[in-house]
Amino acid sequence: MTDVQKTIPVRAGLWTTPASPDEKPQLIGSECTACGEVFFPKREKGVCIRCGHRGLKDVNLDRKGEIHSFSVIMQQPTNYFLGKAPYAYGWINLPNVRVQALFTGCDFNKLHIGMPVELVIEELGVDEEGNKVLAHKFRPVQE
Amino acid sequence: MKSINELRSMRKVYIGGLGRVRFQRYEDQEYYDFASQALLNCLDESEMEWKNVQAAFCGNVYAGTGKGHQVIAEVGLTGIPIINMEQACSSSSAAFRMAYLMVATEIYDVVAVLGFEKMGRGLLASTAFKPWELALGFNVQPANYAQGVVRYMENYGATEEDLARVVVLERKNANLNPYARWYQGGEVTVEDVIKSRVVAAPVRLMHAAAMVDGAVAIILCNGDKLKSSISRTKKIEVAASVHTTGIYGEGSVKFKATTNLVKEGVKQAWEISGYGPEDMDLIQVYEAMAPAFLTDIEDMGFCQPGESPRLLKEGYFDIGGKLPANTDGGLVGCGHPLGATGARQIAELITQLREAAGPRQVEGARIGICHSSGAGPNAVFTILKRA
Repeated sequence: MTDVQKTIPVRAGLWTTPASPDEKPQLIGSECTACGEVFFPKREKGVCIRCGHRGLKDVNLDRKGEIHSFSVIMQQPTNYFLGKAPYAYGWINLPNVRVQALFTGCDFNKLHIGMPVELVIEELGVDEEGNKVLAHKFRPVQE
Repeated sequence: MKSINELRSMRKVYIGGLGRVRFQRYEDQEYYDFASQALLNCLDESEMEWKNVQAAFCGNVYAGTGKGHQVIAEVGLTGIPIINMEQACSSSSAAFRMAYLMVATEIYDVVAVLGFEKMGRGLLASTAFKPWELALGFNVQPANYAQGVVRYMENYGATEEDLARVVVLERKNANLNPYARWYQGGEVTVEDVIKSRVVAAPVRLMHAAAMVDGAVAIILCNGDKLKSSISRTKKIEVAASVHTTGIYGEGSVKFKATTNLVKEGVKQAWEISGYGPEDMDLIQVYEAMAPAFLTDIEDMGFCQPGESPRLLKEGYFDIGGKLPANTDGGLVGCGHPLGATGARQIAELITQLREAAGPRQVEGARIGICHSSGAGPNAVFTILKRA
């Protein structure tokens, strides 16, 4: 065992880290200052691939949206995957942008198009170096 | 850039010959062993020698450095340009297009197209995904197909039975194709398909194209260079060859595009050839997972969205139906050696237009279109017709 298990995101810069426990994390996207298109993840080169404008600003995305599409995967894919099958992923329509994410917190048989879902940051698995890896996931909205 | 009229007035390009090996596992052969055999078969069939060939375009995904060169080294060293092309599952149809353009623009008279693949054993980690996407498990091909399938089922009420009927059709056709993985593999029923296990809901094991090895070689040339009797008596002309890639907007929430690479590509193919969907005697559509057969036919404009399951059920796409589709068994029936698949789809058009398809012959086939798709994304369209 490693001495200290570090907790790391699956990729830096995908979501905000709230300063206080009252705030909730949000995904970070890019918005084009010319045409207004929104992208997730943020576009590292700062280029709008819709209109070609070079000038994007970071925007925090809404935490809630609805399922556009989904699939439930029954077998473990390549060993690069840090989670465990069965698992589910799909596309979620947020108000301005469609994002791809894992689903969590529900019976996967209940997933359906149009289902209201919200963002949570959750453990994905443990990487080769023993780090606890976090991922963005969506779960059914809990009223 | 050439206008449509200029594209149409380029030199005519014909099929000089076709050679292949059956799609199956070649456990004791390397890719250059069975691919060079396909090439030799093609030369024999064309009644040409390697020294007649002036350039070669080679489609392959996984084989690595100098792959086309390794294959051709088994056949001849004549100093010609050999170009290796990786366009994922559309590699060899994209290679076909480059060969076509070289002959049409009179750079060369005789050009070879090779498509070949020795598939890995076990699960393949696609390099089309970023490391963090692999860590999240987003690289599961059946699951990525499934995203479209769940929406199709929701939007049009397509059922499990509708999806299964694609497999039934393709296995029935492959049963008659000596080059297919499932040749003489017997026919399957809707029930068999629905009983096969779920891989990535709603995609099932029997929806998926089998991983096999394979190779196809095609020679393209101008009219004067045709040698074999079949290539001259049943002359086949390339009526259009189009390649498109991703067009922004399909996944946009704020600015959703009304077109995509398939709709745009097929539109260009109709414009260049002067034909339309109603003129086709047979079609080859792309479906690494069977359900994509239904949507591809609709995206290509052969029927209205949501209409293909009913037409399939009525036998519309059967050999002997109104619009025979994937008459060789498609990807599901032939198996899917990535780099060879595009050329294999074109090979079936050639075979049908030559009236050489035996028990799966489409009567009176004079013209057909083929769509190959590949990660990237890529879409490649080829229209062939009897001259």
